[in-house]
Amino acid sequence: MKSAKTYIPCVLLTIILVFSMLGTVICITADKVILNNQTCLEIISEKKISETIKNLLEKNFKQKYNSTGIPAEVYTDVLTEKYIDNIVKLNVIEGFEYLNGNTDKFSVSPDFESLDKNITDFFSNYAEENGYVKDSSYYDKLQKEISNAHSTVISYTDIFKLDTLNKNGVLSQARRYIKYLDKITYICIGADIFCILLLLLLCIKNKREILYWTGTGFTISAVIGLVPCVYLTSTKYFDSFVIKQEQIFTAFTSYMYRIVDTVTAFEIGILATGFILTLIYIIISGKKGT
Amino acid sequence: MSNGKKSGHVILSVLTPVFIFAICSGISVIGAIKPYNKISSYIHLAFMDNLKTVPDTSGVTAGLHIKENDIQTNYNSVFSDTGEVIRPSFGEQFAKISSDKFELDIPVYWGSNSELFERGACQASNSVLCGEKGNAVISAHVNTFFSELDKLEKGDKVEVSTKYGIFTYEVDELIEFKKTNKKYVVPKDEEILTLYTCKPDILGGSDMRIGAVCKITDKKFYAEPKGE
Repeated sequence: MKSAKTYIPCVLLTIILVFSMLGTVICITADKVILNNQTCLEIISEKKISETIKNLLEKNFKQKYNSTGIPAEVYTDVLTEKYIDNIVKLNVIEGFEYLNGNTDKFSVSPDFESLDKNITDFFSNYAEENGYVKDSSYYDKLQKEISNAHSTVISYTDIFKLDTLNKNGVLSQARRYIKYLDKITYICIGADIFCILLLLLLCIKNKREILYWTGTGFTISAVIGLVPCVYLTSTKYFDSFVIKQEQIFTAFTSYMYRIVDTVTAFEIGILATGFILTLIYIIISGKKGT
Repeated sequence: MSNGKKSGHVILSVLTPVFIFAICSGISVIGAIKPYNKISSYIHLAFMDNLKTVPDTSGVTAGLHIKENDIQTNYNSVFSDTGEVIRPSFGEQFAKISSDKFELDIPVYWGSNSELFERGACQASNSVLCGEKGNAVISAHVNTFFSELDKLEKGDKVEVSTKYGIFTYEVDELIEFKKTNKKYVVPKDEEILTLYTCKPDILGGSDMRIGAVCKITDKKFYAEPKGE
């Protein structure tokens, strides 16, 4: 910091370094956590989401019995935890495949054959026992119940609301940007290296100053990234979301906290590096001063 | 390095990060506004409630405070023709319906959602309370609390006991309507009670509703409203 000639460029480069570091953390988090279906699949297993969905579906069909007269067992005999788990995971895998540009359209087609068969059998037995004629209204009713059952199961199992996001065009819009994620990550990492090299060049006459500028850049970048993370975690921000469906609430909040935790971990690492660099600079400067 | 130069160097070393932090924070906040707005709108779009269910969390129904009251019908004190209705809170049981045609007395809750329908009949909170002028609309599931509603005939008596009085109605009209037709559930000028449920169908949800429109025949307000 001996001359204004190097001071101002160093400040500017440090500012660029702060943002390129932030960008790097965001891009790596997006790649490794946000857009990685493993994150969601882990949450599904850890939080026993499928078990929750099974219980909620059971409750839903029991409640519906009061207005439809169809016993819950007609549905729940088929909707086992394993069956639900498969649909939930299929939804996530297909959604992320589409998001990451590996498929051209997002569509989930769970195997409802046994569920359809159960409903059809129940209707048929009921009609036979009660002498109900299997006319067009019977088949209309049957078809309606089958379709209702499908949409209920799909809505309960789409815990990340991928279908809604897709219908509203959010996924297709996100896809457009996601395809550039790799390039943006490389650009950010390149910018980090470029800034550090330029700083090194500017501090060629006083090499210890590179520690100061990079330490400052790392520390500030980490603090800017950490402040919102600490706020979101300490206030349990996502817990305040009004999501009435228990399984979606659990999945969504766990996913968001997982992202926050990852960014926090990255930023703590960067903060520690920044502190160490600054500390070394202070020690060296102190020794040189004495 | 002289002492003055050294202390200047130290101050600059301390102030520079503060300066850079201030600039970067400012830019970050300004830069984050647009993505934040976009992300929040996506989150609202995707995660707004569309199933209309209230999750149970460890025995406590989230956001809904269900209150069960003991509605007594053996009030032997003074009645009055006029009085004040006591407006219940959402989810509170405030009345009981009885009729010779019903085997059981039916608890009535204020407001309607799936949790309340599990516990009794529900009165739409946009309708008037029994004892007030207008249309009091009460509905329940056909397989549970209103399973005997179709037994009602014209001229039958229906009694609604509340915390503030007893109201007797007479079935005036038996009704059948499509669930999309709001003709019988909209506000009315005359003091009536509309009871309805799903029309029993072979299976599955029914698009038709059946019920009874009852006109008031007797109003007895408790001189001292019953406590909870």
